[in-house]
Amino acid sequence: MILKFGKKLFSALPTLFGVSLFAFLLIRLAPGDPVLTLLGERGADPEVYQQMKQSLGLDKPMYQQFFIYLGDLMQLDLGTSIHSKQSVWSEFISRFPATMELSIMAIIIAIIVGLILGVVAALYKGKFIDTILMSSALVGYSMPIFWWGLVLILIFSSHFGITPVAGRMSALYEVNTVTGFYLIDSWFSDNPVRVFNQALRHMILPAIVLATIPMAAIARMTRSSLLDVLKEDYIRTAKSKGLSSVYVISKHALRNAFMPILTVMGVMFGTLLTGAILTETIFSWPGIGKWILNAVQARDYPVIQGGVVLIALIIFVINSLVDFLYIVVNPRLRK
Amino acid sequence: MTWSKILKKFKSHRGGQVGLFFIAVFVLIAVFAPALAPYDPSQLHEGVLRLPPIWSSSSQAAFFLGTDDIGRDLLSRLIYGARISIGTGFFVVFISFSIGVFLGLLAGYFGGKFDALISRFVDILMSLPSILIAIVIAAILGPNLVNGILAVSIVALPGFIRIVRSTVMSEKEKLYVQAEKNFGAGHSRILFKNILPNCWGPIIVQSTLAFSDGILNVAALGFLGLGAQAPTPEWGVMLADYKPYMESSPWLVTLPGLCILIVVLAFNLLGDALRDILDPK
Repeated sequence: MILKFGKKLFSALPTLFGVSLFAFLLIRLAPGDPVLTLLGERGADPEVYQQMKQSLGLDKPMYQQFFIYLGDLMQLDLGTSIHSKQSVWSEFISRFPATMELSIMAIIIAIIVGLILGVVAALYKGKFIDTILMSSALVGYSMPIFWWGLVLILIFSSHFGITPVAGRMSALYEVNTVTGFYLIDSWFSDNPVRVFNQALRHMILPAIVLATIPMAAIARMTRSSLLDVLKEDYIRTAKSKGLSSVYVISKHALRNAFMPILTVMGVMFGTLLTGAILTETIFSWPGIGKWILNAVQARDYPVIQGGVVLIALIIFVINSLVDFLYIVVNPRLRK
Repeated sequence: MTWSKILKKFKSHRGGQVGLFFIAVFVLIAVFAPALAPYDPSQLHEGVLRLPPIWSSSSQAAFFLGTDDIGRDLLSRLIYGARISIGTGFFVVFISFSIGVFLGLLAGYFGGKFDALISRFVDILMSLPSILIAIVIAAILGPNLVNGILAVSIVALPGFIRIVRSTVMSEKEKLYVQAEKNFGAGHSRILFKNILPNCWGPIIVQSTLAFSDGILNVAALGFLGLGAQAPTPEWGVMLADYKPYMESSPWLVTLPGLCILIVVLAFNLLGDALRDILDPK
């Protein structure tokens, strides 16, 4: 089993190499001179131009640039942001917990609500509730989340005034960074209950927005795989033994319906990071999605290049963890 | 499956019919936009800034859905927006379909090194969030509608390549292909005359879903300022433009977003129905 897992890790290396190459080439194949773009249209001083070109390493031939870049990558040296002058890695690390906390919150909401909706819809198959739930799921699945965020802000922030509009924390409170997760860190602050309350209020809308599409997908998947399982003989046996339907569903059916659901969840994490870019922009959430979008808008090439590689790496690690979970849950895959 | 059989199944599929109906409505709006729109979408009307829609008490009958921050008629802008959205969806599907199906056919049929290369390319595109790739490509090519469509088409490629490749791989082992080969048919005849016609089901389903994804992604690019640019009445751009006024004039952000949702939903409904009918698993 470990061997199989190791093989899988190894087989992903070419893809990661490809992503690195993709990020490298993309910036160099862009029309226009990146140095000129960075220095602006005013027509730079030739000396400043040369200096800039040298500091970016763009004065060497392309293949040399690529090997230098790969070598640095191996040592986790992703270069320095042109705008903030900080290393790309430290910028990434300082923003990563914000995105992670939001994503975890979103996936928890998506799993709990999605599972419940899916089970209820399956139990009432063909009835009115089923139609309503599955129609809502399709609406959720088709949602332009950048608009959904604005609608929720209009309702809950502007109209009812119960949630803040932007950011992770109100300026009145200070959070001592311990884990980087504000819901945890708030307990180490001077006023734990209030700070926790603030952190939760800031998080709830972006988490709902981010959870919407995965929630809909999980609900649809749960319903269909549960319906498949409910046709099986062992379910009929369990029912004919006189077991209650709650027991049959939770003990027999859900456990076997779980495999396809888990697959959806694995795929969903990539979707979640896609959503994070849009969600973080709407809610000014200081995470990696907003970070990379700002870098794209400011043409901060080292950040784009490093950010793309790091995001691919995160998705790869998470997908591997899901695969691992897969094997743990399903003994048939262990051979 | 014959046409009459497909039609018969479609007649009992309510969701698919609703989807098709809304698609037809939006396509008609897109085609007849100049005739339907009460005004030119970029015409500025003096003295009517951010006028609310007809159901509000302070509205004017001349502007059914009100006006925007500089006095343009919102209904006319939304109608022309349908043109852009349906158009972008069409071009995204056209580009990704032509290239994706072609590459998928070759990769699945010939296998070997070419297949390995194509599969690697697909892996790379799949290992990153689609909107991130689209954002980076659109930003680097330069933010405008055409580059946005190109970027989103690239992102849509893997879906087509994968589905065609796997279908071809299972088809080419079948007896009729072997028979055709023994009769001395050339590669292109086998590929396009024998194998491709048997792949249409999944390809049509994929095209419908790519349509909705394409519309959604191009709108997202517009919203982020990396797709169509400001005076263009594109729904995503309109959302970003009207965001500063959303508290005082909520209809300005509500309506364009609703249009995006309805169109995307319609294509997903149709896609679901077609999957049930053409590609049952």
